[in-house]
Amino acid sequence: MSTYLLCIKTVFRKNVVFRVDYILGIISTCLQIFISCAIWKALYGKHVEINGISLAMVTTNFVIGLGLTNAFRVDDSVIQRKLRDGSFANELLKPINIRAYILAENLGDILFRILTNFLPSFIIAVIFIGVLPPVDAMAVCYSMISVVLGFGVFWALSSIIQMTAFWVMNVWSLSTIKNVFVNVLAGALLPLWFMPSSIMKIIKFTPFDSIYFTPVQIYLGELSGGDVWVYYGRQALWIVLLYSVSTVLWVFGRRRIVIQGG
Amino acid sequence: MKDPSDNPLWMYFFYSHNTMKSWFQYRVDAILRSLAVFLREATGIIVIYITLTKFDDIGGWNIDELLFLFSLIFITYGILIIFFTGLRDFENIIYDGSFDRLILRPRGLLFQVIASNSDWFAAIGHGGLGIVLFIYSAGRVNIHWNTITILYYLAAVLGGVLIQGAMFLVFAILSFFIVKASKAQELIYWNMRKFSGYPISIFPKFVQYMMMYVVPFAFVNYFPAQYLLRKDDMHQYPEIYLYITPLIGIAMYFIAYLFWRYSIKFYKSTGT
Repeated sequence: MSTYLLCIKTVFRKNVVFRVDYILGIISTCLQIFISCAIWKALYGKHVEINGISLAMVTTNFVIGLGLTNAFRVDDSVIQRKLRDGSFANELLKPINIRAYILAENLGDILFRILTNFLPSFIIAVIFIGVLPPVDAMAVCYSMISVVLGFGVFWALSSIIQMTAFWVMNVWSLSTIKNVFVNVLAGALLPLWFMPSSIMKIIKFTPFDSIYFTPVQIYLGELSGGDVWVYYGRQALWIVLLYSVSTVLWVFGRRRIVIQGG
Repeated sequence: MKDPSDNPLWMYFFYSHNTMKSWFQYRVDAILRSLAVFLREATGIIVIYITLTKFDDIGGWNIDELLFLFSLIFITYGILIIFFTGLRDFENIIYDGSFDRLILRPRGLLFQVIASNSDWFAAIGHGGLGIVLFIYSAGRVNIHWNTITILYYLAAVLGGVLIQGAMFLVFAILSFFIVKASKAQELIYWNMRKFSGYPISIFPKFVQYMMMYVVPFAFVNYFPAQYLLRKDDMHQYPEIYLYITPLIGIAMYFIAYLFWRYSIKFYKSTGT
């Protein structure tokens, strides 16, 4: 376990070196939030509420959703790269779990981005754009747990794409197509309140709304009491399901590789 | 006998033929990649299309007019990327040292950078999406297509390609002076491009000025579309802006080219 914690720490430290990067990252996230809010302001026009949803709720959804989108970034081609440059053979020899190691690397990156990108942009957005306050103090804690679970779902989905590297030549296309689904259906670009009900019925059977939308709903108090635990359960179930698929691919995929001499 | 490689056009086709061969080496992969680009770029369109089923319009623009506005961005980019891929990836060309190799060859530098690569998947993905959107929206919006409007449209597309090409050229030149110029391009160019499909009149003044005078996407799609559509929100901008897209394209590209000729003297190899 300590090996993986050390890895998280090292990746975190490595990121600290590139100061200009995270200042530019904050500006970029703020610009995206700022412009998205302008678009929605134009859409609302003179209306105060549409379908019972106020502009402030939409803005809050963007600040959290887009902020997390910029923090949750996982390199889907990590296995493919290791297979191509041959380092995969060496990794297999090391006494570590490769997938846990990849997860540790990702966690280091994401922890760093949450602290240096998400939080500063959130604070800037609270000051300049105005974000609805959470319904109560507990909602913040509950939604933070949900963010962690949401990341779990996102990571497990990425993990499946990573594993396809054993079969397909280039995971880039699959990864890009997966991202299209996440972007449209997870609620970061389009608040799911405005999804037509027919599509919404389908989304209920997919993992996508567990990623960004559930934490937002808990934060705004749309889910409370027992509902919160039901939705946690749903997020956890998707993590288990997607991770199992990834594990099956991993077991079969590893058998396929042939390692030739150096 | 005259050497055929003296003819730049012949040279260009020779280069293109080779890049196409390498890009389409793996058929299935090529189709999947083009499809992925197409879908990735369509994301924003799908989102706004679904959104506008619940709202009437955005700043007075209905969905068909909005898609027409988007189509200009994608069509111009699809054409642009056939020619300017080398400038998009210019930083890499400098880093891996292949720029040094180009300097040694007895042909124009910019010509070689432009001719040596074309991102065909981006061209198919962006261009394809642009054409789909154009076909869908051109008949539905209130445009009277005749010889003049068609000629204007073609000139505007050409101007739009040149405007974006000039921006690519400027960002490429920046890599002579600063390390990681792509960061600046990411922040200024690509971030603004994400929102360039919307009518600029809905944005705060600051963003409008950025779109008109810093990264002039407004002249790529908004003003040409306004010439054809004449929406009400045009009255806040000078009327002359409707006509000058091609001129701006030529002028920007010419100035960027002079800047390139001047800056090339400062190039220092990275030594790799």
